[in-house]
Amino acid sequence: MKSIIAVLILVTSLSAQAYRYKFNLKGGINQTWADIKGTDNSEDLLHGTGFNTHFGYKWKYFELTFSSYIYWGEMDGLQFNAQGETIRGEGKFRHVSFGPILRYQFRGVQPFKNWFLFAGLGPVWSLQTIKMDDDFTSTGPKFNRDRKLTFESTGGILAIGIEEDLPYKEMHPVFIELVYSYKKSRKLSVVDASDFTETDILSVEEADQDLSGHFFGISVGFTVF
Amino acid sequence: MSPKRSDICHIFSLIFFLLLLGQTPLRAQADLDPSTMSQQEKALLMQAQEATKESRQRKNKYIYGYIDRKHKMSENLKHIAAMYGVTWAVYPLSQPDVFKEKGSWKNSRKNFGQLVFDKDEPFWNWFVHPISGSQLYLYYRANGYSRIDSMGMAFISSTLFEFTVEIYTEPASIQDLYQTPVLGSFLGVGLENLSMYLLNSGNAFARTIGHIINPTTLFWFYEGKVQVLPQTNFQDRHSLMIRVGF
Repeated sequence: MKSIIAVLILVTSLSAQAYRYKFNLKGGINQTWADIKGTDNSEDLLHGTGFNTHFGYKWKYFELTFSSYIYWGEMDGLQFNAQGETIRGEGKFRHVSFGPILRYQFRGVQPFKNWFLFAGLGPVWSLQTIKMDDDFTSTGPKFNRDRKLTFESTGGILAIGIEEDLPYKEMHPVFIELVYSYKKSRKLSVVDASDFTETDILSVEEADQDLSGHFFGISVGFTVF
Repeated sequence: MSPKRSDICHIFSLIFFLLLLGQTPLRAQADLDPSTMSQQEKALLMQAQEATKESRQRKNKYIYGYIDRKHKMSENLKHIAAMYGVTWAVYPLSQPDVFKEKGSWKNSRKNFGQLVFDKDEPFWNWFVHPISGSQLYLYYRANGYSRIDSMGMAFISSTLFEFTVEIYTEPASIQDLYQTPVLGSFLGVGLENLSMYLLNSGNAFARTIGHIINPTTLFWFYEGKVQVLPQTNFQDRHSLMIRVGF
């Protein structure tokens, strides 16, 4: 068993050409599909489009990045509880997440020539904003078309992908990664969005698991510098 | 309707003008055979050709670019202090109502050390903050910092702004802390490349646009303005004199 592990470590860590010991900034575009749950077993399959950025440092085999994933989509049929009212309907969904991701680069595993495999893991803090369209129902008078719901969520992220094995970051290596994350809400704020120049928070309440979901995404990008 | 006399005059003038254009020295010189010329004649011909070339091209007084160099800690601190001062001046000027209505030193004390997710509209988080971040990035680039160092310095400057200036009206925001330097640097690289292309095009209009999108190229501290002066005696000595302002 020990020898198998030793061989695995050796094979997956063989020295390659990629740049090391350098700070870098990466960015790309992403497509995300999510299975989101609201209150009262309401559920929706959401599709979002957006971009991602990663600022980090690359060691020999490890890379630590502070990453952000942003996307926009549309949701339908989800139900939420806010300010004592039950709100249901369709609308726009915005997602932004931040968190550190530690990636291990399997230098010896090259699925394609001059591309190496990596896998990463990290916690994630996220803000999900829901802005209802005209077609929504509310059990009370407080919630209206000018309000938006913002959920602060926490969770974890797992990324597996391949990156081009180039000697200098100035050659802008490309990466392709599959991302899975799970998040559940902790706090809900109702915000008056009638005037975009001002942010008026009308209420803040605990919202444990009022909104939760599995997010699957694919992102393609490159090292900018 | 028969053509007027003045119209015919115009047509003849136009034809004459076009014929004149065709008889430029360059065209006349192109017909000469250099193999039958003496060295002196060749030098004279070269001089004439250079003069023609000079008269026909857009002249760039400077070549715009970026020269990365290392900086001392004292220099870093000076730049951070300068940008910090600028943020204190720009913040109340850019949002006078918010500063007046929501700002107070009591707020500053209350918000100090707090970090929250702001609920601002995308206009602020994905437009205003990245634009200000890009200008911070371009300021440091103009002062000779490399791309990654410029981003690092922009991060320090925007963090100082978030934790000590913006708390006058609202707590520091996670989105702004990350997006101002990171998205700002993304945008900054794009603006940097586009502005360099425009500034070096030699076209006055493009140069103006280049300066507008990258205003730090207009200031005294911009280190990438290089003047290249060709020198030649048209025989055996040719050189380039490069002048860089620091």
